[in-house]
Amino acid sequence: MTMNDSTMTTAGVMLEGVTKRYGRTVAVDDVTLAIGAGVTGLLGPNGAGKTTLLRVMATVLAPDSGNIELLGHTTANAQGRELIRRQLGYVPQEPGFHRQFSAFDFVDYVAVLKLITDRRARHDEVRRVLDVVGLTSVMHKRIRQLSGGMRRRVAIAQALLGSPELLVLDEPTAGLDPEQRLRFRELLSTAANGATVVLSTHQTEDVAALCQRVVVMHGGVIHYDGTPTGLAGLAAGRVWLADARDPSAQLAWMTGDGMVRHVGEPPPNARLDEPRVEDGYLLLVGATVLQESSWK
Amino acid sequence: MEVIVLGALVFGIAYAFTHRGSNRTAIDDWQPAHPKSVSERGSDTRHMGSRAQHAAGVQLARVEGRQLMRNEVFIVAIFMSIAILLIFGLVWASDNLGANNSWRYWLALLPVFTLPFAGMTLVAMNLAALRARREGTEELFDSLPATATTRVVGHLGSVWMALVVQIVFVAATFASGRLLTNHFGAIDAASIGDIMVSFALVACAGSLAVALARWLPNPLVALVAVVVLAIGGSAIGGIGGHHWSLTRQLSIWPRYPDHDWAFAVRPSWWHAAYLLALALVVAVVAVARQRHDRFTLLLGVGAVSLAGLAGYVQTRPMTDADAERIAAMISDPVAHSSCRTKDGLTLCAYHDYADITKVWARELTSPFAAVGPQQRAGGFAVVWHEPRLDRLDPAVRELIDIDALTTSWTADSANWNGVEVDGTESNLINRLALGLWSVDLPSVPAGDAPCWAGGQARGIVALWVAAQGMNDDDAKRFVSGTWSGLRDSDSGSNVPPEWIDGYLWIRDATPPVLWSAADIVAAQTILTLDATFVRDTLWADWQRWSDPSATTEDLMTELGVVPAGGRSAIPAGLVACR
Repeated sequence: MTMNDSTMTTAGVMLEGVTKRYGRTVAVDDVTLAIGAGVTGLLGPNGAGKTTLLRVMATVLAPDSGNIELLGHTTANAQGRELIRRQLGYVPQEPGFHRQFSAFDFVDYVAVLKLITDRRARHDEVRRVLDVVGLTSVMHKRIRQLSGGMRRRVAIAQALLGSPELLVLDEPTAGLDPEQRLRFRELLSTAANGATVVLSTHQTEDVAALCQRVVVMHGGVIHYDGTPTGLAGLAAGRVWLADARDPSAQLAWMTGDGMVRHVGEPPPNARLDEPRVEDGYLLLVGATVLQESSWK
Repeated sequence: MEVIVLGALVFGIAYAFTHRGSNRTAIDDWQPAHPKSVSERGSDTRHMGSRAQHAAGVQLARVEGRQLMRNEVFIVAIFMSIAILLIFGLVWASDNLGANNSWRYWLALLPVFTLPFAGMTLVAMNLAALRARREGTEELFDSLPATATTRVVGHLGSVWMALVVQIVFVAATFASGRLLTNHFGAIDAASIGDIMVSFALVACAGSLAVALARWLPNPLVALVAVVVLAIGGSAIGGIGGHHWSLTRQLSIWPRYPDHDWAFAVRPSWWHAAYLLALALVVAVVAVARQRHDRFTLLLGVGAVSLAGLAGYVQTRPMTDADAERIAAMISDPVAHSSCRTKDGLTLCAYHDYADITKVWARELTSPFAAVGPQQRAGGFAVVWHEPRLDRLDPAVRELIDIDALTTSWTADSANWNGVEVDGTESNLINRLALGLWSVDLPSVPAGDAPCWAGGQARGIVALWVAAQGMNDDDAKRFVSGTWSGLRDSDSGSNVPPEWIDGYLWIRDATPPVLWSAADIVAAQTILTLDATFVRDTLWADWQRWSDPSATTEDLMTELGVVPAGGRSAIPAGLVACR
């Protein structure tokens, strides 16, 4: 894929030939990608290069080669990076917290670093984003007193400061309970209104529920770039339900209703089932990953 | 001249600050992985949003300053300052009534009292500057528009909170000095400079904390730095020992000379400028971790120049005019003193210390009133002088004849009170000098050895006079010679131990008189008698009790008291007081 003029003007994220290595390991290998408004999911196994790619998009990591334009500004110079960062919200994979700070103080601190320098407006904005993530009642508690899920919501809250045009979220729902995940989906769908959201997750349900577009990475390379429906469609005619596990099956697991779901070749006495996003994803990368990790 | 150069430097730095926008090359924290990206960084120019970055730096300084008040180390530092104020500012100071309790002395100690607070501030601010690294928020912060330089400026600016605490500490020192203790004397420009030095020390600590966090990001480094500064600062600040050395001004806390500082030109303002310049140098070093542009370079050069200029000026020898002025004060104390006389009691102290004569008057009024009227009519004077002549600045020493001066004071009949003794001793020595004078005993040694007053009634009368106005406990301690510090085994006195039968009442010098143990007991006994009865008995024939021929037994018998013991033998090498 190469960027043409039309994508240059509409996409929030444009990567062209981006490569990033750690020593001899190629984390991101010549990735070219254009992402517009809406929620884009980034799927891939551990070590696929998702986090590295997101860090590049968050302007915290310089690529070894390639061009990056975010929100119409290049990351190649400080001026462009500052302009990008003013409209960027980022949740790192492992967000740290100033544990001695209250939730309010921490988000306020981030707001200062986001150059929201009017004190009253900043405090209003901090209260707003904490309210959005449902932390108003505990905002004056120290972060070390908050649960892991609450801390994750603090991380999300700081990313929402200033209603950014680009949200880069690295596994934002990790540690959230089901209710909070649903709440997150709700707020993200609201926040994504007109903004570009890039979301890395291992939760294929989140991708199916939230994303207009999904990108599957593996080995630093993009293996799929399309809609969630299209990703599920890759498994059309290859998802089967059977009473027992086929020993030769590539991927099979027992579902809640006692049936065994197979992805790939049909086992004996099986019936065809509707494919889901995870089926397409597993067909795309799952077998390779299982082989590499010696789980099978 | 140096003031002009200083002004030009400060103007230059200020000008660079206010006109830095167009030539700025800001480098943020984009961490490239190969040299090509580094060269790309170098092309970053005309960085936008500098006003917003500046505003963010200010806001960050406010936030970090408030957070500093929640830092456990900083809170401990505040409590240390309170403890220092209580121990030294109230307890110790209220027990000291002499030169050591002058405002000049007290304010010169302020920087030293600030050192623990500054050290703890260094550790606390270093921890704050390392917080993002320690708690894993660096990646998040790197994605935010505030540059690493802005974050550094914010951390540097958070020192405002430490300076506010220092203001409170200084104010509390003043308040306690005014209301609860006996601080006296002038607060001159050098003393104001000392206060500035204390603030500059805190500023230095803040800058160093952030610089260390940027270059050596490990909290242990701050602790090591505190130790190194303590050892290094003490070593440089103590160069020359008891004697005058200007090199010690280059230390962060120079030790001032052992003689009274009225006789020194203390460049405390230049020392404050020197420390502030060092703080600026270190701050530039902190910023230079991320930012190496022309503005930073110019700022660094300006700060180093300022530090060099202040360092040079503060180590210059004093001028001839200052040396002559001080030499004149040393040679003729009375001409440069404020004296107060009441009923024949004259008390003189250098103009800056005139208030101490009020303290002396309080102490000496009762003893003076107990002296026989005939003797009292002759009047008694105390003149304060500086006895540590060998420790004066060389420029002053060249102008005075130390031997001649010492001889003249020894031969003089006035009662000279050297300022080397602290307040309590100063008052006790005044009392003893008055007591000795009242019965014609010498208040200065006639030669290298004291005279022996054992068995002489006047020795007991001298002690009784000297103890008048004291409460019973103080009088007993005073006459027994067990007053704190008056009988140190390491007092450095010239008196051989075998001579000491009574007590030794002065340090670092040969006492004029020694008593026998039996006479001390006798003095304690008559102090238990009714004071009016004793006074009337003595006044009835004051001349007799001032005469060397009147014995202890005579006096005790006259007062109706059984003598405690026989006459002590004169120790070998001593002669009886005549």
